[in-house]
Amino acid sequence: MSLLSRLFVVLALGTQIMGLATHETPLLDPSLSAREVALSQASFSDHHFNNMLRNPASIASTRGVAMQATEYLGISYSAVAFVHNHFNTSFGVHYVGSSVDTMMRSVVDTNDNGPPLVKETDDIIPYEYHAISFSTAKMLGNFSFGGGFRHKTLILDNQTNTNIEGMAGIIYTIVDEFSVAVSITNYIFDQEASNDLQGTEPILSTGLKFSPTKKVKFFMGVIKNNNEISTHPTFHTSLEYYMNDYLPIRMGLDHNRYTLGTGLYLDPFEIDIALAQSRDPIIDHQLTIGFSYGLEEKNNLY
Amino acid sequence: MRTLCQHLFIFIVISLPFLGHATAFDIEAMRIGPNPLVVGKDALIVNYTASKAHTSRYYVYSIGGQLLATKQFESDIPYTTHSGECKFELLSTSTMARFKKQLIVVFAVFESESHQIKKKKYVIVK
Repeated sequence: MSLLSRLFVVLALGTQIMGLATHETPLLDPSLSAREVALSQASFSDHHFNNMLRNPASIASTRGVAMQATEYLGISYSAVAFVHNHFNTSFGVHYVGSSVDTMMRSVVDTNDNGPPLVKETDDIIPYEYHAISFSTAKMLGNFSFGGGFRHKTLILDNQTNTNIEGMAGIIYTIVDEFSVAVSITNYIFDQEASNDLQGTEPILSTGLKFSPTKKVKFFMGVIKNNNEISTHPTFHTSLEYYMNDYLPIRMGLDHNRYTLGTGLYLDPFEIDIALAQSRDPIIDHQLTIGFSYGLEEKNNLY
Repeated sequence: MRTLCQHLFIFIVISLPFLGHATAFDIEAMRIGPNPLVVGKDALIVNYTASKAHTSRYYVYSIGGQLLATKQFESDIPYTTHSGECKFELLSTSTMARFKKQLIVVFAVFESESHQIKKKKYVIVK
């Protein structure tokens, strides 16, 4: 094992120890792909069209279509992404949405100082969340640059909260096996309200990727997200290992919870599934499933 | 001896229907409101019907999975954890005023004589 590999393993193991210090549950990001969840949100230094929202530079020289489904707290989120190249520049579109149509409207009757009585009506309260993103990225030598913006809408009954946020990122490929990345996302241009899905603080991510062989990828990242309740930089490490040409295994430490995932890779088609541990005994684990299709020349799809 | 056996047999036959009807622990008609809840104006109210006295624990989470509030109650508090209709204020108006405007998830865990029931409700906070 080379010195660089040894150093990376030591850093990864050390990060695990540091990462287990806190107990809060990380904020859910419903836009994460199954691969990103399984790799503990640390894979944004890798060129892959599924990493668009964490680092827009990651879509440079990639192309594909992906669909994701996430289930958390009993609410389902669906996402679709499309990335393509024109004029040596990559363009990406991403949509994620969710709705709940089972909440019945209710009022409270205080009943003249008696115990309060909740009366349900026959009306359903509308709740929807939509986020659409546009990104572009270009590879120049060993550098990849990317930028984009995102429009989010949250419908709470008769109130609609919207915000527009920007994102940008860079990936520097030092050598074929080693690359580093920096990105800033959730940079707010226009904000009407603050909530868990529409945070007010930018998210700064730095990370690196190390691929000692074609079958193995190590990832490590530090994410500073002041939208979390306990605001401090969090450490993320993960490993992707292809047992053969078709079966990747993924595992990682997402700050203070373990993540696990696998996939079925039938080039260019890929099915991914990921599980993120819940540190809370009340909340179930997060489950994400994804279907991706890489639009490469050999598929003759265009 | 024969009479004793006859009496015993009659007693068993008469008792059988009553043995099968011990009260099971159940929570019915759980409602949380008002929904939507207006911050600064409304408190969070819980209603349900319990078949037995019980303990209860409540956990309120944001849509992103952050724990916002917890509360627990001992067994057999009138209108809160007694057997029958329970109607009470879970979180006050001032507590709810600190919540962000979003969807929240309320988990309730009820326990009585080693039986546990879990319920989940969604509330829009606006």
